[in-house]
Amino acid sequence: MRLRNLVLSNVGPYVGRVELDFTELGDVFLVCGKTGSGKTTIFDAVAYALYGSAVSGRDIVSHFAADGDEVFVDLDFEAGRQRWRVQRKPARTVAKKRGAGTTDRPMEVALWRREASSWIPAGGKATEVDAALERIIGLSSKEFIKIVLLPQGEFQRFLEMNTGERTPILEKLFPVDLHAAVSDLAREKAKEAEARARDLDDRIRVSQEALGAEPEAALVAAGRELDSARAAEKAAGGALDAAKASGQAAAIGARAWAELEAARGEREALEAGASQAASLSARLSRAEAAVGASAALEAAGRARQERSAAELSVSAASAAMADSDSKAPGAASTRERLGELATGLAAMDREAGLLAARSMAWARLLGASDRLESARTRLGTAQAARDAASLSLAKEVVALEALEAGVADSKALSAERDAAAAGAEAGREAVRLSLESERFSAELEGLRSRLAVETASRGDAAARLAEATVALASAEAAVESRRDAIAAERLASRLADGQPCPVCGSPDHPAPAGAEAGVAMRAGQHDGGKLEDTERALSGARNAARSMENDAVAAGTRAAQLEKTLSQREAEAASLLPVLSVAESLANLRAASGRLEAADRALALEADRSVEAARARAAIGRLRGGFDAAVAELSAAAAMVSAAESAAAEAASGAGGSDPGPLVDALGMKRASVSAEQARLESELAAWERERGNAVARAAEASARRQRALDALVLAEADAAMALAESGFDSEEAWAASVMGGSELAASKAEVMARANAESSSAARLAAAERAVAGVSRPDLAAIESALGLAEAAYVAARERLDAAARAERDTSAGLEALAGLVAERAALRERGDRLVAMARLLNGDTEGRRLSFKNYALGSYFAMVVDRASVRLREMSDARYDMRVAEGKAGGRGRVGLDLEVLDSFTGVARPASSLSGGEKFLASISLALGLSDVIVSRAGGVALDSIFIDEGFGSLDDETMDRAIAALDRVRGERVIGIVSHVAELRSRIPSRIEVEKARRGSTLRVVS
Amino acid sequence: MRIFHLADLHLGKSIHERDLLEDQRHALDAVLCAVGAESPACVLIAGDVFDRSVPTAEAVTLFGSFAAAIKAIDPGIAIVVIPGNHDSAARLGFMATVLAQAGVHIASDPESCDSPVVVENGGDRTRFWLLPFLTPGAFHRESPVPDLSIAGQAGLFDEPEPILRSQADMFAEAMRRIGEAMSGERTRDQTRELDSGTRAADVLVCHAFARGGLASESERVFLGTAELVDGTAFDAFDYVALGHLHRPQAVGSRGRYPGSILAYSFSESDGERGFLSVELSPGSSLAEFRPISPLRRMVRFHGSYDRVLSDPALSVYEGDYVEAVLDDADAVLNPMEALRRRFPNILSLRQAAFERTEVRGVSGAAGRSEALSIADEFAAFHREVREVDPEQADAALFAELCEEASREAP
Repeated sequence: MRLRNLVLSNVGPYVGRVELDFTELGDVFLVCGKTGSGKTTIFDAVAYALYGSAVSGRDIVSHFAADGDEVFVDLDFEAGRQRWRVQRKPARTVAKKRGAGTTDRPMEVALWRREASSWIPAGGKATEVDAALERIIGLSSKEFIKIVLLPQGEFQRFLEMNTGERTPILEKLFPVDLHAAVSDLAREKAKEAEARARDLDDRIRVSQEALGAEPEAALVAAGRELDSARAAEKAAGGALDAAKASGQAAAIGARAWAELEAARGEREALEAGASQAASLSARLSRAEAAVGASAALEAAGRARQERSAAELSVSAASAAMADSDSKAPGAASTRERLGELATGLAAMDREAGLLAARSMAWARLLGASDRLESARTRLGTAQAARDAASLSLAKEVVALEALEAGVADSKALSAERDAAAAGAEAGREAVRLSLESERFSAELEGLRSRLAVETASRGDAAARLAEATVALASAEAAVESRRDAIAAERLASRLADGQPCPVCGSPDHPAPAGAEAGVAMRAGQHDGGKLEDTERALSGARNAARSMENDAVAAGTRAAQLEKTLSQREAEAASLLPVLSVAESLANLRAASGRLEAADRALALEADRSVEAARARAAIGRLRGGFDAAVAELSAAAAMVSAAESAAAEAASGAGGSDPGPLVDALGMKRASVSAEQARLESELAAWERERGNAVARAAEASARRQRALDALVLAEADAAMALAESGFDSEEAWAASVMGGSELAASKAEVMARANAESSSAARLAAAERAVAGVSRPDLAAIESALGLAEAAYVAARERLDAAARAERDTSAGLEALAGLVAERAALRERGDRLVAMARLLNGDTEGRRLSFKNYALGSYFAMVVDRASVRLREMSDARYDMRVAEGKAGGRGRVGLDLEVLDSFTGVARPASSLSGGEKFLASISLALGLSDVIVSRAGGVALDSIFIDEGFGSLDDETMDRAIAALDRVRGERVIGIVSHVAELRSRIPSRIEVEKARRGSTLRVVS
Repeated sequence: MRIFHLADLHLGKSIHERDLLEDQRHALDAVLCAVGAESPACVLIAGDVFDRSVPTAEAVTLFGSFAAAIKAIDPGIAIVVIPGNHDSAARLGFMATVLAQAGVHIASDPESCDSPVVVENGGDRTRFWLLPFLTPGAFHRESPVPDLSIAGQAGLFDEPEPILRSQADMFAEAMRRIGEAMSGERTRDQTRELDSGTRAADVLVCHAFARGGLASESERVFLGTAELVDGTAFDAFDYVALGHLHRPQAVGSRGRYPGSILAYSFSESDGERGFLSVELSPGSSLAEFRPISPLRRMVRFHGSYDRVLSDPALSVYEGDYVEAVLDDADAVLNPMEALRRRFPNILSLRQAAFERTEVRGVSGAAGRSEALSIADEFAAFHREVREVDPEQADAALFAELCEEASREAP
């Protein structure tokens, strides 16, 4: 089985659709990628597509898949030269599209076969397809994952199984069904044989009992009895036959006599009817003669009939004519009446016209009265309206006059207001000025005080400065003198008598400074110190003087500034106008504000008033308009009234005083009745005329018919007379009497003929009967009958005895035979049954000692083959260190064959169980075992081609060298097989160029084929 | 000029779980001595420098010190390396451009096979055309590949292979490219020849299994690609420095395999291993095999357990790597322990007693794999349990039962 193409949709970690083309990969390929990226999923999907369940047990449906996503696996593969495709969708529980809740969708699977270039469906029901796939691949799911797909961790389970666990798997892999079937069949048959033996024994016993103690003697006696019964029967039979024969003869005689009597009777009957027969034949001959003339006579008869019919019709027609004539006067009077009616109708029409005119006038009158009514009403309303309008108008005018009386001079008011506003403004200004002037004087005071302070400090500073200057001068003097003293001492110390003094040049030095040398030195030192002190004091004094000076200057500057400012401000103060005090100006302001308020109020009042006046004016205008309108309306209404009155008077003139309606109605009715009568009469007249016409026509027709009939009659009678004469009748009456109907004629003929036959046959019969009776006497039937009966009874009895005897004899001999048969059968069964039992025991491992069943033996030998092949592989992969063998010594006990594995280590020379190998060694052993299994399966009859092997992980447990060896060995032994390896081992990536790289991303994994 | 041609160092390899680095170091030291003695202009390593794509640190260090030692002897010696099928070309070729400036040329990209490495020495010029081991997909399809595949001829309308897969195809493409470049160079040579009077020699360096070569047990088979390359293209070159086959041998008149520097499997223990010292000149080459005596030999003994354990004639091998094949009739218990005491470097042990059962098993299996009829199986079973052949009547009964059972079976 070779994979060609795999499509995954939302399977495992693969989101969306992922496609994998295996044909792009080489014969050895690697599936690599990080842990959990989805490598195993690829093979899971293959197993799922084929068998409906993933090997690893993981769910096929991707966790990333939403309910609406399609989840399926589609596998295109080749098996035995035929290409197939299977698509499988897992069962899912998804949310309903409409409504709440979930719906369960079952697993769906479909299978196609490739023919030419298209896919032919080959099944759609899950069970069908699953069975078909198992047939196509040749392996069940369990076998598949032992031999073709070695799943992660699974393969070594097979390696480590014990016999009990391995047996069922091997039973499925190897064809031991027949072995098991034969063993079972043998057991069944053995049981059957035993049962049959027991059954046979029972039957033998029963049969023996039935036969009794001396079966042979009974048989002989039965035979004898049979013989005598047979003889008796024969005799009785002979007697019966004789009786029968005589009976028959008697019967014959009796019959002959009876026949004679019958024939005589018949003859007599015939003779009785002879005369009747004769007259009948005479009639017959006459009738035959009459036939000839019948046609003509009948024709004459018909003509006569026709003539009488024509006469009848003539008379009928003339009766009708007479009837019609009798009605003529009636018709004339009807015409007269019709004329009267017509005149009457015309007069009525004229009257109707007059009445119609009167009606119209009456209607007009009614209309005019109505209009007059309404016009008067309108007039009334118009008057009322006018009155009302004038009232309201007057009211408004009065109001307006009142308003206009109180007009005031708005101009003066507004002037007053302005003045008040100005006054208020001035007051505010005055307040402001007063406040400011207060502030100003406060400021001046402050300045003055500060100036005083500053001036004082200036004075202080100056004083201090003077002091400091003095101190400075004194300090300087002190330093100077000290320095001089020191210098002098120094010079003095250097003075030598006779040498000129550096200062004055005198050679004598009477009193050198600091004469006491030691003291001078000491003083110098001390003075040195003192000098320093003095110098320090000097510098201090200098500093003090400087700072004093600064202070004085600063104070002076400040004071000067203040003075300047003060003078400025005072100048400003002088320029200010004299103002009132704050309190005064505030009082002024309050007064001015009050005035302003009053002016405002007056102004407002005035404004209100003028607004009112304007409104009143407007109202007046409107009312006046209304009034005018009412007046106009009034006049119009009056006009209308007069018009309506005149119209009404006019209408009354032509109306005639009363309502003409009823008259019109009466006239109409009368007219209707008249015209109805007219119509009736007209139709009566028309009917009479029609009748008359018909009668005339009929009369003419009837006479014509009569004439024709007479002519025909003459001819017919002539023909008839001729025919009569020809046929020999004297008259027609004679002929009529002789005529016979067709059937009567035929019947008479037949009767005559029959009679003739009867006569002849009767004669013959009589003759024959007389002949037969000749020489035979009349038998006595009764006696013969009774004799026969007796003979029969005797015979029956004899027969019964014979039957009984025969039965008894038969039973006995059959019983003996059966017994013999049973005994023989039993004997044969013994031998075969024993053999069967022995065979059953052998095949099912029930023997003592080696308890091995046939099936397990076969299994064991197959397994030995597998292990042989596996061992070869293992030697290759382990570089001849390890051998695989079936473990011996477990065959004892309970019919189990040893199916345990052990591995032989050439380094130690000892075998150890497969479970004791290391992980990597187990992996090698498992692959070897899988290869061994597949070798053997392929070679068995009808073995399926195992073209592929997929190994999921395991290489990680091998060290480099072993992995090299394993890969090399796999490559060597694979032959034509495709080997797919799933591994994360990095070294394999560089070894195997054909790869499927699986990359894991946050949202699903992706595949990439590298080759 | 003289060059040294080595190949298949397989540094870092271990066999039977024994690390051979020490032995490899010893062999490389021997090479270094020869370098000192013969002063080749170039040391050439034709692939399989390391045994794995990610070699051990010690192996890498060893190679580094080997190269450094060569340069120490004479900095002017060019070192030329190509990766083989065991190496990771990318890893081997790291810093190739920098190293090239120091006179160490590592070719790891097949696309650059048409730019040769030129080595000049005392007036001689040699062009080395370096072809790393070709992995499928090595070349981007440049020239259209004619659709001569059987599939194409059968009219299945499959597209022609866009990627070259087999060794033969890729090698042909490489030869085409190198051939073009080489003829260009030779044309240029001709103009130069008129000036200086000598033309350059052309050497092809490649790692492949050339048709006509003999394989050994320790070579790794190329997985999934057709192996052999055609050696007829070799005639275009003056010398073809090959690598991959571990047995020193020649292919055609120009191609030489130096073989691996050590014997790497016990079946190779008979031949010598070493490298080639080649005197190159335009138009001819003379290659001499320089054997390397290994630190420890690979030796295989056959004999009974007692003999192997005690025969004094085998004392010379006591320090070597040993495979002992014991031909005792019965399996020997724990031979390894005892043998290891005499031969501390014994790596592998086979017991012929096991192989014999194996042989029997195989032939028995072969016999059985023809479908044994169930009747025969029954007979065998009968013999197994009752120890006699079945009687005629029993066999007949069995046959009858079989037939009935198989009829009943669906």
